[in-house]
Amino acid sequence: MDILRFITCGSVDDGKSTLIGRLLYDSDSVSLDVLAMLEKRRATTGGDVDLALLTDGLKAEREQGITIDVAHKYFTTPRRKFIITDAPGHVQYTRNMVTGASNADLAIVLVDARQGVVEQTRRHTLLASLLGIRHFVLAVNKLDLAGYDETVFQQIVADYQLIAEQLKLDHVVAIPLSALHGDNVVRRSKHIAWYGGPSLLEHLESVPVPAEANPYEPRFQVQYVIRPQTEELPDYRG
Amino acid sequence: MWSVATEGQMIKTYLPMDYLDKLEAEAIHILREVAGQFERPALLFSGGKDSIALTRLAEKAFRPGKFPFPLVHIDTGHNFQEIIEFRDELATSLGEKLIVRKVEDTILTRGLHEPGGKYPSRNPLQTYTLLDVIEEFEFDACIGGARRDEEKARAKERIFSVRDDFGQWDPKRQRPELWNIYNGRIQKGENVRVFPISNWTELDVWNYIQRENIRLPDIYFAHERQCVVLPSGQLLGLSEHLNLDDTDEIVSRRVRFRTVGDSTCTAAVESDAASIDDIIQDLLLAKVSERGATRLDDNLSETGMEDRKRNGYF
Ligand SMILES: Nc1nc2c(ncn2[C@@H]2O[C@H](COP(=O)(O)OP(=O)(O)OP(=O)(O)O)[C@@H](O)[C@H]2O)c(=O)[nH]1
Ligand SMILES: [Mg+2]
Repeated sequence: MDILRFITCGSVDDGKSTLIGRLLYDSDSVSLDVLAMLEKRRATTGGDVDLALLTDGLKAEREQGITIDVAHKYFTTPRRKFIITDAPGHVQYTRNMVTGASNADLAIVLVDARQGVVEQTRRHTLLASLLGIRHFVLAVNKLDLAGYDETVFQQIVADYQLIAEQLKLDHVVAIPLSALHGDNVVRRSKHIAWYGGPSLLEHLESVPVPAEANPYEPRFQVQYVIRPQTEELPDYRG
Repeated sequence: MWSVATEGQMIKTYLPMDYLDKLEAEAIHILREVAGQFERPALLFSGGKDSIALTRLAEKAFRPGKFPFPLVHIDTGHNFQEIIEFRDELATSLGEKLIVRKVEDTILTRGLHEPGGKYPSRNPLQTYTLLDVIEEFEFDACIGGARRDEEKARAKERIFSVRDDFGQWDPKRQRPELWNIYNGRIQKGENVRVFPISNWTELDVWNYIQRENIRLPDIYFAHERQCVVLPSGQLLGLSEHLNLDDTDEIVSRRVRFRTVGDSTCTAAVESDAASIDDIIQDLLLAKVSERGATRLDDNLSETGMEDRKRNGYF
């Protein structure tokens, strides 16, 4: 089995943490005790269960309802093992996003269907590509708030294509979805019948994992020299 | 791996490394980074499966040399006897130095309050003993077996986690940590907690234990044990450290431990899993997380772990 490491990025409040929460929840990757904790909290705050709380683990994050630093989550499907990094969208925490993106094979760039492509969408895409990420997913989120309208989706795809061309991104897949309602996250949605592609999870399970080593310019890191200097190994250096 | 074609041209014969190989390589890299960057590191050894796996990783990182750090055990005095015996045997068979410091002594020297109640946990007091041993030996880096999948605050922590004079974690002060480059530069008084198996899950650890044929203390495998039934339904192994009364129900059950810590705050789970294979099967079906199933102290507060880390905990 192989590992795919991916990061969610994009502007503040575009729904990154909610998307990861939904991905974990709909793929049955959340344990009962953690669900009970969410339910307990829902009972005090009212409203729906807040799936973003699965990754927003710091006290300050839960109080302010935003992500401050990267969170790491893990789940496995029969096809693949995933290491997820949830990045903060707020411009003030961009450096934390960079930390997260440095070890990702793939970036999911979220765009709020109502806002469209914004400055932070560009910034995060640029940083992700600068850090060496080759595979991108453009996740057009909150489509429920845009009437699941195909023209909204197509307009955002067209806007993002300009960025992709500028940065010479070769592998971009656009997926219309609603993180909150789970449309096209794990299962394909009947609300988005005009879309014929895979759900986000289906795509993540099938996208090729890039080889981590650069075979053309090998580097040899010397971290530490082992010199036991024992009788049997008087002059060993490893 | 890539292979080189005879003409000197690269051909793509990508043999994907098994995921355990990748996790192992990452952990070994981190351990060697600690050895290279710090003057006085230590490996915090709890006697549990994660720290036992760490010793195997350290063997891979440093043999035929010695470990460039001692094993340090913070003994709460509430540990299971099997764990203590296992700890001593393992240190002897590895031929590595073991330092043990007792919470009991810290309670005396610092005049701390011995916890009371029915299930008196010395778990929070470990922090003081840890800070004292760091000061005593001037450790600049402490390697631990914590994993990010264990708990939501841990999921936020860097692999090299810088702590201040008082061992305190401040999430707002976390540094950049890019690629596989770890920054161990610290101010005087600060130290770093290092978590080489951050990216491993509970299941990964068991798969590794199976692959590497790592020996574990018997209490990880199903056995008959006298237990107290807690109000939550959880089972706590009977020990002389509990202050029970007539209302407590004591039963004999077939159990194993998913994690070992202070015997007064670590519950057993009912199980028939007698081998590593059985445990892996059990885990694949498990609906409750490791902490949820076993820890009594984290259920008290939603931010229990973050609060303890902010106070110098592992
Ligand atoms: N209607 C609707 N609301 C959504 C959707 N996805 C997220 N939201 C809401 O948008 C708000 C922000 O969601 P988060 O997941 O916290 O956003 P984020 O991108 O992680 O934010 P930062 O990490 O702080 O940058 C929350 O109130 C979510 O419930 C969606 O698909 N539809
Ligand atoms: Mg977020």
